[in-house]
Amino acid sequence: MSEDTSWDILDALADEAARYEEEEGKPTPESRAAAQRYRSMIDDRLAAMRRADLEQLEPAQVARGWIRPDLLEMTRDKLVAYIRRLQDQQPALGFAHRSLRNVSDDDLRTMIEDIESTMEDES
Amino acid sequence: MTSDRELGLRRARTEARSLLKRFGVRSAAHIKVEAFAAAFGVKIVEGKLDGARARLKAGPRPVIRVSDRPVPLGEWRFCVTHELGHHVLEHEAARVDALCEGAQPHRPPQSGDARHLEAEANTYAAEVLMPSELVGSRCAAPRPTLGIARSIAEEFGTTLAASAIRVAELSPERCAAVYSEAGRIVWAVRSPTFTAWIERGESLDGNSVAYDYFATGALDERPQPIPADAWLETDSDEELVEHSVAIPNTHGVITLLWVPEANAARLGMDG
Repeated sequence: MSEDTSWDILDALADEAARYEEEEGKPTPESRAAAQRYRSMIDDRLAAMRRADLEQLEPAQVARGWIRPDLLEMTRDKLVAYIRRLQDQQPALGFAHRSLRNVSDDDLRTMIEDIESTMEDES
Repeated sequence: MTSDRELGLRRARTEARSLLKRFGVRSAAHIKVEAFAAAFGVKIVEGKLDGARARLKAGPRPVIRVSDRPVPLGEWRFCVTHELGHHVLEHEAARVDALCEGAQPHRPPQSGDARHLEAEANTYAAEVLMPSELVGSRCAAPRPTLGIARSIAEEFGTTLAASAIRVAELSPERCAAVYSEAGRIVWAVRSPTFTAWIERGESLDGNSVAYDYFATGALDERPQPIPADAWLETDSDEELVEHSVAIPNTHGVITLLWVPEANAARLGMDG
């Protein structure tokens, strides 16, 4: 059983206990407060476990992206033809931009870099 | 009936809250943008990018490229989380051949009820970086000012402008965040109860505090009452409260407008 599943079960059990109390129990202010404390404790514990889980993943890194020399020598027409070939190989390929004004020749070059760097990761 | 636009924005908020739960976020210190991206299998590259602030390479093995031009950390974090939003929300990206042909590749703001993918990514980023559960109570202050936005910006590592928008989005008060450049309104975000319209592209009124910055290079950065018609289409001589602050690195001014309850009726905002 994965940790994810364990958490989901714990979460569901807490919800179920709260629902049972609401539907079947005879709650008092004290029992409600105790249920709330229990719920908070479980939530805090789950959140801490989830944060620890994130920490255990590979350290997040921001890579530096350079433009390799052979791309710097290419004209716009050649860059476009190159990208079209990559698009044919990866039909799902696409780009979204934030605050896009234009696509410069260097932007075409970095598109190729970004596409090919992930192809290298796969191989 | 709920519009497609609203449904898209709701889904963005839901996905953002799902991320916050998945990674156990309970305070500002737990918001680790780079780690979130890595957990979603998204690589972040910082490098040359001329025509945009950030870009997502969609498809298999996604990459977020962020421009290496110096920007405030808050803007960097917002850009990355915005692009992560496009990925998580599975937005359709522009095909590269369309971009190469110089077609208008980005999705301009649309009016009406149609989905607005950029607004969805912005909503996602705002909820991840400034979770409503963590900032909601301070945004509910009875006298909204940029001081609240500044405290959010400092604690959550966001820009003053993004934080001011968050105040307007979450405040129950009648308030609006407005950003101006070169003496004109660039954008305005209103709280649900601020029902007056603020037109983008309009020149600032000479009676507004924000105007002073573009006229003289300085402004009084304190909240202060001014005639409401400096900002709103109204015949009333009622006042509202303007709090404007210069943002030197963009040569702009961020403003928070607030209409107190006692002034609302005469400004047609008593509904």
